[in-house]
Amino acid sequence: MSQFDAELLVLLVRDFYGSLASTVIDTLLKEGRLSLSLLARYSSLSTATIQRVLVPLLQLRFVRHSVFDSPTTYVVSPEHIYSSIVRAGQIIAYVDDIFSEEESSAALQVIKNLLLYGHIRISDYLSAAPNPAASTSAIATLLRRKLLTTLTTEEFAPESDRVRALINEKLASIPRKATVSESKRAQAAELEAQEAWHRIATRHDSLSDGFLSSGEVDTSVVVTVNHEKFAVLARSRVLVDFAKRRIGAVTAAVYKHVLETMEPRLFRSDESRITISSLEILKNLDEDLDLGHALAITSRRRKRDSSGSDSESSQQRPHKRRRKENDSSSSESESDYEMNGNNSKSASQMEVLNMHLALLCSSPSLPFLKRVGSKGGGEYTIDFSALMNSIRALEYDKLIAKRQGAVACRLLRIIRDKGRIDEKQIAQAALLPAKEIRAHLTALHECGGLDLQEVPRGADRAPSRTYYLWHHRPAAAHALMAQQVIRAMTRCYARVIDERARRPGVFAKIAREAALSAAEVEEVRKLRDVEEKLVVQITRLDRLVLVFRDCL
Amino acid sequence: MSLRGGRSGGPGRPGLLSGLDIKPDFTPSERYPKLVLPIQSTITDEERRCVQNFLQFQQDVRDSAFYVVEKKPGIVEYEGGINDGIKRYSDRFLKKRKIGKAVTDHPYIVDFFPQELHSTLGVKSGTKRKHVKLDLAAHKKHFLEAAALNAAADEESAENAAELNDDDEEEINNEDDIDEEDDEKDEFEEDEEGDYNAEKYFDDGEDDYGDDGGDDEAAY
Amino acid sequence: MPPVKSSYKASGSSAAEPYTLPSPPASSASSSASTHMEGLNKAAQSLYTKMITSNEDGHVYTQAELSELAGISDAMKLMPLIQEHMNLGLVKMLRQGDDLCFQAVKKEEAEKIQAMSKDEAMVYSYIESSGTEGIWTKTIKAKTNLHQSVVQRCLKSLEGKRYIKNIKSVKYPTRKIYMLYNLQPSIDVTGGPWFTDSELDTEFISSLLSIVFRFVASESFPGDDHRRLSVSSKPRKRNSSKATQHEQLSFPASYSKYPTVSSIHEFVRNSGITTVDLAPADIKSLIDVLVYDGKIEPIDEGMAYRAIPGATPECGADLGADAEIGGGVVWDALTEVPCGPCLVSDLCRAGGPVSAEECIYLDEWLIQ
Repeated sequence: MSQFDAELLVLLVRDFYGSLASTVIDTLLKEGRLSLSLLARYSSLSTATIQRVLVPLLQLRFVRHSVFDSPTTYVVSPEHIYSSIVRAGQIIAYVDDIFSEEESSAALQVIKNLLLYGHIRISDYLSAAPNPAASTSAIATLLRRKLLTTLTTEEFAPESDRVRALINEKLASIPRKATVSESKRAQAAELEAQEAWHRIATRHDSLSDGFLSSGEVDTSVVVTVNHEKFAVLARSRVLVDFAKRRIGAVTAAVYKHVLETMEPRLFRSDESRITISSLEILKNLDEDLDLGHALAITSRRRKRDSSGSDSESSQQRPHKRRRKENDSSSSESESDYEMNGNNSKSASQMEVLNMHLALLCSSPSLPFLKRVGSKGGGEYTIDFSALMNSIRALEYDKLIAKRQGAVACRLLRIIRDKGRIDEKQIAQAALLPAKEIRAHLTALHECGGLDLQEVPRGADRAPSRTYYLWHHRPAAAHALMAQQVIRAMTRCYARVIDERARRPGVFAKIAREAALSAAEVEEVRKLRDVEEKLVVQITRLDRLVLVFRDCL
Repeated sequence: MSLRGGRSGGPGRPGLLSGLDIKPDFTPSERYPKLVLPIQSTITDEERRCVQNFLQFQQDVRDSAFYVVEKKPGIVEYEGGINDGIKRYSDRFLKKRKIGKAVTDHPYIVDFFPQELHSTLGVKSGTKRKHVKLDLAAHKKHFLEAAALNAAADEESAENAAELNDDDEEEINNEDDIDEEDDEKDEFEEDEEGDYNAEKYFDDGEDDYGDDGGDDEAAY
Repeated sequence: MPPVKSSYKASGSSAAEPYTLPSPPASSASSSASTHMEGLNKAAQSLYTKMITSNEDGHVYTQAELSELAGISDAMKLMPLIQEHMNLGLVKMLRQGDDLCFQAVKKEEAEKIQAMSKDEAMVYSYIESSGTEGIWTKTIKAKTNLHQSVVQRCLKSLEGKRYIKNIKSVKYPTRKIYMLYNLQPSIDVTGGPWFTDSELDTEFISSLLSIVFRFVASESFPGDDHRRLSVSSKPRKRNSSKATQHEQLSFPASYSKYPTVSSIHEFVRNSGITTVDLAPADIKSLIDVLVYDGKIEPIDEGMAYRAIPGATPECGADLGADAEIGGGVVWDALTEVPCGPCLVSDLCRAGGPVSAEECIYLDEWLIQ
């Protein structure tokens, strides 16, 4: 966890939960894992105070406690703090969107209280809720969509501890043999533990999680917000936005539907692929979408000329299409529209859907979709890993273009494409003089976008006889950028706090609900505007964090 | 430009400074080099909603038992006030804030907590924790939002003052009464629950309601 | 006549290298084309003619081929004929690998060389063999072993006669490089069509890039003359408002008339934008730059190209402002807040010389 993350988290925790809470978090982030007494020592707070503060922090699972250590030790869960606070607004908005007007109020109450209290036993919630029936129904929906997940005691321990315990368990079960070395045993244990861990980590994925065998909600379970699922949904929104830009609004709407159809089977961002068919996609596709309207058919010649001599210029000659496996249907439909006098204007729902899906498959640099078979009208999958890599590259390029100009961006893309390459080759590919690109390369180097490797040609290391090879390492470059994003978020929030602190007089008046003078009303408006601008920016920056950190 | 801190060349030794390029202090324009200022792109309605949700969420947290503050008197946190521990005249007008609901005021699931914190949860050894009802957040409007609405309402009523007829006046008065009633109720409830009696540290603000005449020039 | 090592051995390298001839006796100084041939006997003449006419210019004959051509199988009888040719410079002997072979030299060329001084001829032959690459004066000096001033004299003379010319190399801008007068320097030397006076002509490239992009863009999106597809069994409906703020009209993925390297090449050629001869490979270079700029993308595994929506001649897609798509689709989160472009962000911390709380950039940004 980078230093900048810590700064942001401490700032948020202090402003939301108070300075005592933030002191504890800060101490744990600095020192790692601490027992209660050590926490007291490093934070200069009394043990009693720490105990009081730890209760809500554990309740919220901002801090985890180790069941294996004695005395108990405490560890911060930074990603959880981040998601719970920074994304709260978006999570609430999302829940509002998916429920209809009548149902949303109960659902919003559920989600808001869960964000507030970290986790709640369903029975406790229902006994306090004004409308238990509506709440139960809302909880059931949220559970089924996996926006809520159930919790057990194990989830309050740090993940690393649980994995370690698992490894120890597996190690113990592998008998010692004279022929097998210790390290081999350890390796085998780790492997088994990894598999077992995967099963454990995904055990809440089942559809019956939180439900009784009767199908009703199991009110004895404890539920919490499932941030992993919300991250998947947020990622889908990013992808749909990109599709809208790259292709168009109608195709993007189709893509949104594809993602929604896949959604029940997508539990977290690092999932392996899921395949769905056109038939599945066609089901529940928005009736109002006029899919055909967005597609152009090319036959506009009034006369059919088979001779090939037409008034159009030779540019119009079709290029040879590569025969792709599984692509037979889409290339057929094209020729259908051109050749078939009768059917040239219309197509079936399925055909048109497939045309949109084909568009989503068509960009090699942004593989929104990939066709993998022809059953059920066509089988498709999304390689999220490849797609997100492309999107990360695009976002990074954009940042470079904005900061250092289009030329720098061109050079970066050349280097990314070619691997290790020297200045001369870059200049050739870029069609720019070597002198002109030198400054850009240096600037890219300084910001961490490029690495320089010296490869000596001779035994001596004379500069004139050395190859200087430029190279781009995406992971390192993106990590640096992510740090800057977090830093910007920290500053935006620090400014929010400051802007509020600057106006204590107005607050006092508001608190006692006195009439505000015109000037003070202006103050309030200004403050609201400022808050809004800054918090919106934080939300937008969070999207970059999602793309660069959470979707790896 | 004043000199700050123990920089080289204090006021008594101008000679040292004259030869140096180092300025002990910089004006803002020197610290912040010229920059082409970027523009934030238009905020959508969806984004606005997210912001409101976020700010209201913060309000909920502040109002909840999880906003933990020091017990000691003197270090008092005021909603929107300046938290430097100094008592001010204006403090008496700040929202009478309970210094936190008791942390114990929540139906914790004891098994999820380590043994050493059970006493903090209010569990006496061997016994079960007494059942506390979950306090669902009231989701009071983010106070600035409320203020702005009130301000807007005030503006409107000020503008309509000339054309105000009796009915309108009554309506507005009724609304004010309702607000006042609610506030009074809330304050009473807050007094009853919790371990910390905030009353000790504040003047009773209720008396001030009648006095909102405008003679309060709070010295800030 | 200076001694000749051996008639049949050229210098050591395996590439076809010229074998410089001793100059023939003085009578050659004033010979003209016809008299030149007169030195040959009938058999030699006819063989020479056959060598010229039977194959393309510059064809290199093996001894066996010549034998066949002449109809003389006996090497002892063949060689003298060839020797005669060589004496008059009408045939060049080359060495390819371990074999000797022969190349007919055009009469005019042979005369030209016969008319030169021995030194000049030597210099000339090296220049000739350097082909379209040209040869550096220093190399000529090294290979001929002539004195610098001698080389210079020869070059001057040959240049004066317009047999050779001086060219500028893009790789070695300071070297004096010579090649035959009517040859076109190779791309390596000139740098290709992108170089004018061995400097990269960035304006030229720029305008070409713009033209190519506009062409690709014009072929990438359907226009008013394209019909929209309708879905059978459904009446044409207006798109619901949520789907189209920006009515989409795309070619289907199977559309096969996107521009290709050859169609772009043809367009550029026919447009008359430039007299410079651009090869398809040059067009490909331009296309690649446009791809790197994010303005066009290859589709169908590089068989064709289409413009990316949102790209302009000035700016690649995804790299510019997105005002047309409507605010909110945010792509510039880091650069639209001052922290992104800020130059002093490393110094920024609470209480520091610059901080979020005091930031004058934020001051202004917040009141926009």
